[in-house]
Amino acid sequence: MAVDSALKAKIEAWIKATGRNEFGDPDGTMYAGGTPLFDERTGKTKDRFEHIAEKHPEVKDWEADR
Amino acid sequence: MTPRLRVTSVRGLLSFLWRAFGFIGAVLGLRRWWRTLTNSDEPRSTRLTAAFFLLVMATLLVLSLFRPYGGRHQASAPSASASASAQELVVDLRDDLSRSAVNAVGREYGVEFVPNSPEAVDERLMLADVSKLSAARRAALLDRLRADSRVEAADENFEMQLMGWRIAAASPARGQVAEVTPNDPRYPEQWHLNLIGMPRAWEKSTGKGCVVAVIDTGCAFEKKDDIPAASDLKGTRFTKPFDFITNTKRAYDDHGHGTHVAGTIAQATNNGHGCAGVAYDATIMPLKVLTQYGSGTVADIANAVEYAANNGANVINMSLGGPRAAQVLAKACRYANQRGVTIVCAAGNSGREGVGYPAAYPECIAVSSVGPDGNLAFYSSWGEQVCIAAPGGNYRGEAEKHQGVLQNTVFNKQDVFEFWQGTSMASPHAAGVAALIWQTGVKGPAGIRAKLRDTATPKDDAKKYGAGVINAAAAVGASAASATVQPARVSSQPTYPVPAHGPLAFAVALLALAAVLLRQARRPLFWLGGALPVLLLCCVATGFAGRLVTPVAGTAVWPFLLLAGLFGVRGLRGVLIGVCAGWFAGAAAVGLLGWGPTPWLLANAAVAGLLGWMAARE
Repeated sequence: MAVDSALKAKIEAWIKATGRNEFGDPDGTMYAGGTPLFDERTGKTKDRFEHIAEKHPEVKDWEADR
Repeated sequence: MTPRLRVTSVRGLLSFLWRAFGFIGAVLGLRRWWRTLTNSDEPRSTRLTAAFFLLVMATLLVLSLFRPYGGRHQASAPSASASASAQELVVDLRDDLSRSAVNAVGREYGVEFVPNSPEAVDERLMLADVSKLSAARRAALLDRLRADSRVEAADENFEMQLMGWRIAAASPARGQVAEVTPNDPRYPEQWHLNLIGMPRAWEKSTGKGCVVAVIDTGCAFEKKDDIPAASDLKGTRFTKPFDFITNTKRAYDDHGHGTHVAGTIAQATNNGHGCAGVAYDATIMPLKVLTQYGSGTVADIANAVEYAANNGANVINMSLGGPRAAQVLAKACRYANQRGVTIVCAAGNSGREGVGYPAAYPECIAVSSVGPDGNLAFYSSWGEQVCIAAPGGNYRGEAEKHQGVLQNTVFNKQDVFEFWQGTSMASPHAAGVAALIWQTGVKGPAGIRAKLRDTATPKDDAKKYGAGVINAAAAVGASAASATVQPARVSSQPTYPVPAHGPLAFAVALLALAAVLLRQARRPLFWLGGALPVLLLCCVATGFAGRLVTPVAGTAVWPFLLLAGLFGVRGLRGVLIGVCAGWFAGAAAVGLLGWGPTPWLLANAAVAGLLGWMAARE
């Protein structure tokens, strides 16, 4: 899933406005291996913005002024 | 591969002296008791006592002559450098084979098995004379033995000279360079264990008695519905599982991560199945805080840390983390640390500078990850909080996947052995080594951290590797050495260096001693005749024989029980007291040297004191 610069900016704003962590999850979320972006089973790394956009599709429709 | 070494001359001499002492003592004792029994001038009670002990001594003598020698299992390492001219094979058979089964195996292969040493028959470590076989037939026989499920390991038994001592290629003495190679078929693929020197570390410690809490996605050590249990965790010890997500006393793993991590720490090892774990005799406390998606809350994790600290965990492994610090988790880690729990954490898989939490807390040992070449893995986080580096795998594509960490887990409801990579895999290597250190007697988090760091293989970038790449062999070696000279750090479940057949030999010797001293019993200070030899014997035997048995074998309860019948014999009470006091003094001397456990010394003192009080009443 490609994430353009506009969506990236929106994601950053969404994270800041909702008090989430850098992975788009509630603050205080912990992960196996410390990050949801690296799959220790496959050895593959995900892009942070792609991960958030996939996990939180609602962010695309989020409006900063809501 | 480094051959397994054993100084045969000193051990052989001690063994000979030990057995000779028992034998001569027994013969003298039997003679004395026989004379007493057949002397019609002796009171009837004395003759009955003589008859009883004559029978006991004869039984013990027979047992001590024919009982297989005890010996801790030393799996033999296949040696690439084994001499083609080896005259014998060393064969480690399965411990559960009966004596007749061992002989049957020998007959099947046309060889006769003889005990490798007076210390290694209980564990079925045998030698087979193959001097009459050609090199080709010897090699073929070796291959067949290695393929036999009844054989844990087989190798050529070759000898070399080292510093003037005759060294055999099997069954090393403690303190000598030695290796243990598990028979798990996929062990050779576990480069990560070899990288940190596990074969040598296992010679000294396997993590026995240490409880390692694995705070993770749970652990598939038991079956749940259609999810199987991990096959290579059968035999691994588990305690007090808890699921902090559902608040139940189960910790099923619906992800696979926690099972893989637990396997690195304590995979069932030397069971002829799957692969090996770092501290395979440690006990795992599986605590589930991460969901099937691999995420969880800081609150559950903090709860789990406190639970572990309150329920007997000695080491905590957290192959998890997050980008932000949380006071509640910091407080829990501090609490656990203050309770003597060592906390080991994955540094994180960000591939950049910045150690995650909880790894970055000062109470935690942050572990970065290296690949087979010992260099930092591409995904590993690094930073000034990194304490140490450990193997976690480093591969970029499927073709290189064997450069990951191989363990057993359950994934997609399948029991599988998979190569994973991450600081999650590095952390349990360090936690496992912490458990090994713990077993040697260095218990506290500060001591364990220091041992890990002081013995690490140094690297040039502290932010990436901390003190360096973990070195289990060096860490355990240094820890064992320091624990020996620091009695305060001796385990609460310590072992006593006494020959395995010591209790029997002692029994024979003590009874013989009592018999020999029978006629001198009325002389002043005659009890010294019991105390001094036993003290000497105990010190010599425990100091040099190098065998580990449970402390109960060393307690004065045994001589007390064996000689209790003598208390009714006129004039022998002093000998009895002397023997027990000597035993106590011997155990105390050993204890002062760092081996003796205080509870047993107290027990010995109590027995000696009781006897003294009883004698004083007469």
